[in-house]
Amino acid sequence: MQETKIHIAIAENAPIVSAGLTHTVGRLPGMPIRVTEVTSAENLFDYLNTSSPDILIINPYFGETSDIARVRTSYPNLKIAAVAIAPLDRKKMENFDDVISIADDTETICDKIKRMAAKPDSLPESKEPLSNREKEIISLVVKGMTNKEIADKLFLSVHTVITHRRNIARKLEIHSATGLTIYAIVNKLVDISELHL
Amino acid sequence: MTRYYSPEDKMITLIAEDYPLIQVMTRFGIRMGFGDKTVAEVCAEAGVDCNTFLAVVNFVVEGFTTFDNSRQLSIRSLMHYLKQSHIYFLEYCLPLIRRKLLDGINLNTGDVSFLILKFFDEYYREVKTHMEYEEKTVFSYIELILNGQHPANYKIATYSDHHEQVADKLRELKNIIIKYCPATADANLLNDALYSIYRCERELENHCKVEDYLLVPEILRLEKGLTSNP
Repeated sequence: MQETKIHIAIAENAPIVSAGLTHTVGRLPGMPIRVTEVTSAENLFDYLNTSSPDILIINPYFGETSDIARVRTSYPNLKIAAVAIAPLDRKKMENFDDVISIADDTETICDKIKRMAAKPDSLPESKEPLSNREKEIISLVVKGMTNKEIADKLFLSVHTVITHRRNIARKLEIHSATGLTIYAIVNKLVDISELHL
Repeated sequence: MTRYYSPEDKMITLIAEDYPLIQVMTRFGIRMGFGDKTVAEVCAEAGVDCNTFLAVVNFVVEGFTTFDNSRQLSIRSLMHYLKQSHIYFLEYCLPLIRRKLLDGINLNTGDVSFLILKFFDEYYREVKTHMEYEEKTVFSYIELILNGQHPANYKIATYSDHHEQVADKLRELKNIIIKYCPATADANLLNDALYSIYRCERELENHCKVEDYLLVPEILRLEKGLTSNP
């Protein structure tokens, strides 16, 4: 789903390396990833201005020498990995969060990307079962109650109800009231005759 | 950058090698029946900007990944193409899915099947609102830029990145059908509806990428030009 999709930008001029990275990174097992290739420093900055990728994989010799420092300063949250075709000297490596070598196997690349994206496992949340409280809240939501009404009925704060609803959406991967109603009926949290549909 | 296809290639070669390109052709207003003419000839006859057509074609072929502002596109041609895509989704693709769903799910008030249709209708309205916003706000802004004006209250960067939701919601619909559809549904008809949803989902993602990776970079370039020579 949307929340776990990792956006990766690739800045590399050699087409074999760029296409190879795009292909390899785009089909890592169990990781939904969106890849974007940029072909010049100008495109890189335009892209970073209009999109917010999680990770940039860049050839250390891409663009001007100062570009990487410039990216760092402008986008402090972006993780930057170097693509290493030949061994990089230590001094060069210091500028990067990680180094992806063309000799790395799929698993190693997977681990590096997971670490950088700070999403150690992409999908564990959706495997968590719903708590009884969450089920109760679903049944009230689909009966048409507002967050305030639910809060009053269950003696919770509105803030807590909203947190529960966010967790429900995340666990079920359902983000709309109609979707939730379908879930609630099929799983017998409510009876269809109770609903004003 | 290497381009897969060039103006001297025969139009039929493109289509024979990559059949999804017939969609691109149609949206540019190029009809079948072009015989053995080259891309340049077919475009000239249809009044289509050949360079823009090939930019979209090559972008599709290389897998929708390259963000590049050096393509030198005709922005009006590209907007025309995008408007035709909107028409395709709103007037053809999504209504067809709705009909297929209706055939497949065996509408019955005793279960959730009508809610699945309701979910779809809500989704349709969202896509429609989104595409209308693009045409009213974004495309109108681009028209102003093309006429040399630079409205201060909008920047093309505002527009990107809220894009993926359109395709994500379709994923949610698909999952709901697969996980919760009542057993009364006709399996083959429902599979057919699902196949159409999968295809539409991919087409929507790709459509959004044409906007983000072809249109947006061109507009950024124009915006920069306007700020540097006031």
